[in-house]
Amino acid sequence: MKHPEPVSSAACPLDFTLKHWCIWQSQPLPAAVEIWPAGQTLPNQTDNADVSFLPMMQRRRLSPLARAACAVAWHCRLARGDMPTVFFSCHGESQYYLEILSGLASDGSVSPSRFSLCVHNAIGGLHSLHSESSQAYLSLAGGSEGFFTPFLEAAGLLLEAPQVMLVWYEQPLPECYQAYLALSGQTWALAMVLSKAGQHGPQLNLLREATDIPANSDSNEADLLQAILNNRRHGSCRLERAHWHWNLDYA
Amino acid sequence: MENLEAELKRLIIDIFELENITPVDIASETPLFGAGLGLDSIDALELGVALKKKYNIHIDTHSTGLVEHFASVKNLANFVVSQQENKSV
Repeated sequence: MKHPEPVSSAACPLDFTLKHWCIWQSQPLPAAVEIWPAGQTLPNQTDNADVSFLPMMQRRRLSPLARAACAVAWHCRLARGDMPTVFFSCHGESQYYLEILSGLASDGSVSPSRFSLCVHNAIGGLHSLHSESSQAYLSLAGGSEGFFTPFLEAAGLLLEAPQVMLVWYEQPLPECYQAYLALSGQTWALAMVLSKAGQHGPQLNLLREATDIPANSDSNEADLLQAILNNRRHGSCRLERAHWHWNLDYA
Repeated sequence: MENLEAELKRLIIDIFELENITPVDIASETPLFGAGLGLDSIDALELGVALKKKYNIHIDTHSTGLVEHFASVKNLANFVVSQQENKSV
């Protein structure tokens, strides 16, 4: 295990084997020839991720965000089979719930299907239906651990399951919210399949250090996404209550 | 009535985002739910909201005939006309 910094009593190491990953993003992919091993980027010639592997009656309910999340999850599942899955998004279907709130404010009407699809576990639920999976599915929202929250959940799930899938997905917030939060200006989704550390494959080591020092303005939770696409193998991110370090080791 | 049926077919295609389907692909007698067009219970709610908004009609969700009214485009068109006639009386 190679942690970037010494482990203190306030530090929590999380170590995994990275079995597979998959990314879709709406912006053009960087021209870098090297990306992380054991994974794939999906083509983004159109505004939406390709979900043609689903029947039309299942595709029709998928928003651009849901298409991205379901596409990366589908490809990881193709590569590694069915497994418990953790879906994570800070703000989820923000376009849908703003539309519902606006409708309520204007004429009181709410679209039943939009309502059913904007609940936070809707995308995970749709993916489990598409996959006919009976595995455990979790949907987490943002919190003080931000982007790193699913890793904590994965460490717990791996006590009982041989591998777990994590799926992150975000989209630009509606314009009226953008003054309050600086998020990535694109729609993207990342899926990772993790197993216990020490198995065959790249080793992903994370270290959480508790801290009282508030996050600085340079903290960027999506930094890991860009690192994968540029084959950068280590980094760190300071959040509200913790400083996270991560490192990818492979031969 | 034919115009109304065509209008309802377009409405169904639009609200349910049915890719690669045009109004001529939906026969007026085709079942909308289950084995026919394949719509489900959430779609039924969505269709009810859309009809209420577009035709300003009242839909009694406790009505025993509702399943029959929503069974096909033809039945829906009859239902819309009957509701509008009831309002004008």
